[in-house]
Amino acid sequence: MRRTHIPASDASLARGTAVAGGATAPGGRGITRRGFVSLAGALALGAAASSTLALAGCSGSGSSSGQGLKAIKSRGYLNCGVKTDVMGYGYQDTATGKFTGMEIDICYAIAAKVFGVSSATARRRDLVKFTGVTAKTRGPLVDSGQVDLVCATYTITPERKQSWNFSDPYYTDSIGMLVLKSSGIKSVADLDGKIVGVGEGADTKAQVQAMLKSQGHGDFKVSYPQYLDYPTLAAALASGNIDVFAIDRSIIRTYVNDSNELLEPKLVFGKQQYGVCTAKSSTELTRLVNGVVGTLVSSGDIARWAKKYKLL
Amino acid sequence: MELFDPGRWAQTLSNSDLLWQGFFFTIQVSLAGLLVSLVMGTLLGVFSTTRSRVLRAIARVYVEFFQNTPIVVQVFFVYTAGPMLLQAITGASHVVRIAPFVLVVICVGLYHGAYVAEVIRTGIEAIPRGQMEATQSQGFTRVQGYRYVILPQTFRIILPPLANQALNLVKNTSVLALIAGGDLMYQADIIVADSGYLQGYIVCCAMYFLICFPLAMLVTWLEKRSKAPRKAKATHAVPAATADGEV
Repeated sequence: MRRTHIPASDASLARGTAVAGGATAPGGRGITRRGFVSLAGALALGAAASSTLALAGCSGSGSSSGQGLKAIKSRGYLNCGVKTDVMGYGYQDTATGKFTGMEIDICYAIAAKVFGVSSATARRRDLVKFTGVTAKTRGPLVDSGQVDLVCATYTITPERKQSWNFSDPYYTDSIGMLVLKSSGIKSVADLDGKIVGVGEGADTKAQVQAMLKSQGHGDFKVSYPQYLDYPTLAAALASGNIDVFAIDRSIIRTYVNDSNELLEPKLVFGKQQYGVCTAKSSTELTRLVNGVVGTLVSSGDIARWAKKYKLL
Repeated sequence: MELFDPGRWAQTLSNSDLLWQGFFFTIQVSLAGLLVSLVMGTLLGVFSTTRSRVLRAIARVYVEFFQNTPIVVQVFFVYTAGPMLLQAITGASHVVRIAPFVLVVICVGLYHGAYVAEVIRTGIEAIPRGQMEATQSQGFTRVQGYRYVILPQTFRIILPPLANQALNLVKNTSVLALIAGGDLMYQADIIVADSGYLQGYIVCCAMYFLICFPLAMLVTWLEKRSKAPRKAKATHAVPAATADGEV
């Protein structure tokens, strides 16, 4: 009963004391939230209008820098896009900056043919200039002419063939599954209820599912979380967050260590063929590359390199 | 330009059920994370205003640690080291996995708990000590003083920055994508990676906007309200008769 006057009394007490660290923009200056809404609406309309124009205008893009053999010869070296982090294929030693791997050797063989020298000479005279590429950058780099060709574990697919030229395949890769030695997983029959981590943007999940089905394990309950990049995947495996790290064998090689092993190395599935990619416009170079790749495969050089670089 | 390519938009939008799935997952994570952060924040905020040196030190160390290290590192650390630590603690035969949902709720909750603690501390400190003394001189107990005088004012002060923290928390749940957590960012990233079309990111942004913009408007409204002069509430008139009984 005595307290009835209290709730009203606090109103007149201390006001204007420091307001705790709020970081929102005050509505007063510049643009208000309501103003923002109407502005956004106007922008959306504008975007819709300009998109129709853009559609009409941007179909004929893409620069056609001189990528004929003559241009390369007068330049004095061949620009090749290669992987920098795939052991055995394209790998750059961070200490020396030197590239090694089968795809590096292929690039030197192509350069040798272009300049009419031997592969050893091409290597000695530095006739190839390497540019590191990733899955996301290799296409655009060929398109813009910054590299003459890309030889970087590039899988030949019908969709890609519509955008670029590909040589005949020089190597067939498949999917490998890495497990911790301590996990007790010894065969694909142990995969029921397990977690198989895969990389984003790869169809590894579909390939593993198809393999399980063909092995008679179509009823297995397996989850496939997708990770942004391979180092995170490797960390997820090492820390035990996933049971299996499934990825192209070319890539998996880099992540093999003492505590993990390849699950059923003899089981080959999810085959994919790597080819040398060139721009649609560079027909001469494409023909030459195809010839070199054909020779390397038939002469057994590729098989020898695969052994030399211990490709999985 | 590819950005306006209708075909790419159509393909992206055909995957929108995945994005909606991520959208609702993000909302769930945010709500749970907010709850954790409010509990942690209130606890530590009160700690840092008590007289106890030890409690104040605990609150200080906690707040400084979480405010001065990136949440991505914290999430990665818990993700990679957590299962092994749990194994060691529980003595299990196999590493003990933490579901991404739980992991991020805890990480985001603890991280924003530090900010919430600061908000609550400044909120409490904003009320002059004299007011508590005044309530006590009027015959209030300490609890009553908090209940009727201090806390109503504190709430008015802290609500805008709290809503602001909720907004940041929603955006920070996107670290889930790094550990394949199944949230909105994760789903968008998969769609973009699968198709190579960046439209997925635009839709993803729009969906985050859908959650955050109402929160931002709430912040603005709360700020406006906390600055407005407060009207006295209608109270029951004190019957004159009872005054007779008073000394």
